[in-house]
Amino acid sequence: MPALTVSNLSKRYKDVVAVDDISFAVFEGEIFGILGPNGAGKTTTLEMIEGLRKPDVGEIEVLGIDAIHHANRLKERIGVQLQAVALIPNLTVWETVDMFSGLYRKRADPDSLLARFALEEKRDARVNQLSGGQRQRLSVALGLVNDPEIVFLDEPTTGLDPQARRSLWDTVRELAREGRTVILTTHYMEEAEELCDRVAIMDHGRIITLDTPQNLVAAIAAERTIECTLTANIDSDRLAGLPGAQSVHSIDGFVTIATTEPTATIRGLLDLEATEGVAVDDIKVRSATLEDVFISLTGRALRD
Amino acid sequence: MLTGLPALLRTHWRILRREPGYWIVTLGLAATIIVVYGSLLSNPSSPELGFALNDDSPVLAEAVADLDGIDGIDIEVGTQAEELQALQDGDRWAVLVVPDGVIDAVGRGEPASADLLYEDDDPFQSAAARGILREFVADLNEGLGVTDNLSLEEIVVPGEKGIGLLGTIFPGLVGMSLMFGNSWAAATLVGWRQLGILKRLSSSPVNPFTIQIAQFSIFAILSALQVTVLVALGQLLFDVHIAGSYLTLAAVAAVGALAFMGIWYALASFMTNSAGFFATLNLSAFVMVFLGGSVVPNDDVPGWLDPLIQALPLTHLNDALRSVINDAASLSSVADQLLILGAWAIAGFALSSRLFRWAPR
Repeated sequence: MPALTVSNLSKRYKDVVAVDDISFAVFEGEIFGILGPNGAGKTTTLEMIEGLRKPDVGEIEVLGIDAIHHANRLKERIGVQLQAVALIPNLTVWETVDMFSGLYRKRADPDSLLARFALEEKRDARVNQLSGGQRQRLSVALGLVNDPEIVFLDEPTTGLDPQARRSLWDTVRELAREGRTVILTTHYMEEAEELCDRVAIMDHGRIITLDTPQNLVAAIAAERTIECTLTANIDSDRLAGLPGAQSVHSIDGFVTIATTEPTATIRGLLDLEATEGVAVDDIKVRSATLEDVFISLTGRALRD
Repeated sequence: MLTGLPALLRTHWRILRREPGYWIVTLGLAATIIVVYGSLLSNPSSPELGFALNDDSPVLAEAVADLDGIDGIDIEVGTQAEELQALQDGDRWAVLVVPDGVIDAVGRGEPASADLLYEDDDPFQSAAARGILREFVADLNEGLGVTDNLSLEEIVVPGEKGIGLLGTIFPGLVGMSLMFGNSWAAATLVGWRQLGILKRLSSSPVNPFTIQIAQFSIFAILSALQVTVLVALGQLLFDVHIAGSYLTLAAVAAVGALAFMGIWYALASFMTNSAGFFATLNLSAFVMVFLGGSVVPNDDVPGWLDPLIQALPLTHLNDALRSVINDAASLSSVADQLLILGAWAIAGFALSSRLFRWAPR
């Protein structure tokens, strides 16, 4: 049963189409990822579902509630972590949690919430004395003050070190095990791959594909990815013409080639030294990832 | 050594160019200061000086006639009783009483003294009048070829209202406190919006009304405390006399607080950052403090400013407070002012709730 369904949603800011006619559903208990580069429309999509922005066109139903017209009824049952962490500087961590939980009828226990996010020691610290990672964890914790059925996390691991990121992933999995639905945005491929049950990949306001990470990768599974560094820049078209090459992405002499025949492609690369005077400095062959899915669908890398 | 200077100067210019608060405060304040002070002080009405000459020396009569010849000084000569009555009635800025035989005594080289009486309701007027009369006496000494033989005894007489300078200014101080004290709620709103805290709150079920009520209640209590401290210390330390009832005073203060809370909330709706809010607040408060009669009486300003003065909410709050504090007015006799303040409150709150925004534009 879907926890939320989005139908034909569009939002435009002046000349920019932020979200362009997207539709999808998220199932109960699922960890659903929206993946895409900056400016793809991830945050706008999330904020429309959360009832913070009004869509120009489209319908949103969350937990059986019309999210556009009855946003306030919905807000009681969802938890939100916004991309920009905004905290009242002079409050302590505990006071902050106390204030936000006081805004809801249903409340989680503030102390166990702090424990869950390893903030007990910072309980009485002012929030402006917290490190970036601690602020980020507090911000996610605030999304859980009302023991919500759906949790929205907008780039929750941005600014976290690798260890803190892994620990947040564990927390997110735990939330799903508790029966909550989690919707998160990210521009980290490995995060989506590692964490999400299903992933929608967004670009230029549209969902260009939506499936489990495994299926998305399997669709291009026959492919291998060659990453190599060349001694000089070379025309992408010349590289695309290499035997077996499916798609090419090149930036500053660092080249990524998706290929169905890795051996032939590598041989072709090595031949470039004789024909074009461009040598291979470094080369690596690996199997496809979500990053490669994005490149094969858009021709661009995620963080271009 | 100064390699980075041009780049830093460019940077400062760019920062300032984008900071509306800075321009409002510097240029706007400069323009406002000169307009406000200029109109208050450039055309002072002519000093009206009374002379009670019990000494009929021709030297004295001549000196008074000379003074009368100066443009912009009005001289009245009368009996001591007439002149003191005129001073009581507020028709003289100061009165010089010269006892009989003083001029002869001074001429003989004996010390003597004259009385300078002034009322204390208007500090500007009495200061100007005292200056002129001191000069007059100095000239008189010089004319008689002596130094300081004729001295001046300066005597303050209770003014028309008999409340003194502090008593005159006090209601305006209360009004000013109410005006500033009730700006904090709106300032908090602007700050929270700027920091993104309002946006974060908007993802919870809380509604704007609740947020404003919370801010409003806290700062209204603080404003009430502020006025209480002002009134209590005024009475304890300086014998400020509250002629009207405390209840009436509290009611007028409450309506004034509501009016300014609403006005500053409305202003907050237009401001995206705290700097802009405080700049505009200070600028408009500055105009009101002076033209609204909080620190200088506003009844001597040029007529063209009158519509502006009547348009300022602080003018009406100060009028109402003055009536209650100085003249023991009842609520019904300040109903006009309260209605105007009430209208400001309603307009302010209506506008601010209509324009309420969770996030900066």
